[in-house]
Amino acid sequence: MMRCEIIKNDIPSLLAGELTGDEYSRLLRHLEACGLCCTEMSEFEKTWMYMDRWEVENPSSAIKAKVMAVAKDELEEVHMPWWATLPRSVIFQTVLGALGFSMIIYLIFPYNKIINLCETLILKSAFFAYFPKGLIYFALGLLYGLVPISTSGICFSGRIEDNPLVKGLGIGAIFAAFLIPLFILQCPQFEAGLIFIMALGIITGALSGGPGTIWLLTRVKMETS
Amino acid sequence: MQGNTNKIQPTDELLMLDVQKGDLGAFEALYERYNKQLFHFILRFVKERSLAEDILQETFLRLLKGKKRFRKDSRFSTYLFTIARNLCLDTLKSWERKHVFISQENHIEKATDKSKGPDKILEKTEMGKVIQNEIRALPQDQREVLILSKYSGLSYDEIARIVNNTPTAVKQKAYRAMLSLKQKLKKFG
Repeated sequence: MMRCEIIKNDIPSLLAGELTGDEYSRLLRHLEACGLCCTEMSEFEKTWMYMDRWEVENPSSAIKAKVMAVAKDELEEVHMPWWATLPRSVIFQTVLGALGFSMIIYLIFPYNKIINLCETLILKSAFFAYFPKGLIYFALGLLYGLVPISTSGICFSGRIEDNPLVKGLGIGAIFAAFLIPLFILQCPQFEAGLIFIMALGIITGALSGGPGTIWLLTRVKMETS
Repeated sequence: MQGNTNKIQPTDELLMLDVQKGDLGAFEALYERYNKQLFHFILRFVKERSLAEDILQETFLRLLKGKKRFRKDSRFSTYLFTIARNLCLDTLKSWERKHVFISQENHIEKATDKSKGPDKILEKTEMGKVIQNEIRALPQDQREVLILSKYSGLSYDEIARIVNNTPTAVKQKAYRAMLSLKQKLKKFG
């Protein structure tokens, strides 16, 4: 015969409909034979029935209206092309960032100084000895594109919920598309080939910094939420 | 000959997959299926109606925002109740418990008025208040298991996933909660 302590543990499960066929039969057999457990069962049953007296209201219909309004906008975005779902503030911030960053760099650090820096850099001899000249310009362009877009990405990654890689790529492309013409206009002294290499560096930096930063931060947000 | 109107209703999981594709009707169907059951759970858990409405709304909004995270092999009710439960816990942590205890004391005093005598059978509403207060006085882990089991009709397996525990542990908590409740209600006959 089953111990009463084990049987009593099963009584709430019986009331909640959680017992399997065998457990149910075993419990019933015990209750038929044990008066104490039968009394215990009655008391639990009474408690279970008393619990039905705790009635609560239903939610108001206003909640449904609010939720469905948000759902309509949210689910419409699913059918839109990815670029149409970019928040306007993000596009505006990216364009402004490209314009502003370029102006600040030009004012603080004129391009003839960049040329001097590249030409007189300590590592220049080592680089130029073993690598093509353009590598250092490419590296500078990479930083030029990577740093501002990564910084901006930290600011607006919270506003991007899905497709972080694709949207990050889009944002990087917008940034590069605005920055490169400005860079070309601001440094006519560069050789054409070096302009091309540095622009390539900017594009690489922007297209890796944008999706990289936003994807990473979105992942962190998902892991911690 | 009448047309067959007994259409097979899609499962919650299929509806959620449709929501992921942008189907507003599927989302509305899920809302209609679960809003009352979910609200009753939340209201019993947090007590305040306005708070419960906010949590209900936030639960469905989070469901929407995180729709891509729902996996095909998941059970929708577990997923939804987990969101709601976590919101309730976060809300209660920041809620001033003093208001809850003061209200509980008032209800207990009214419900156990000694002038009525211990043998008086309590009316339904009074007993409802007593049950409400006694369940709310349970430890949080027992309280949530009892509410989910009794009032939300979820299985121990589902409850275990929601509260991040094993079905055996859930069964134990349910037993202890019922035992505690039974002992406290004995004085009311």
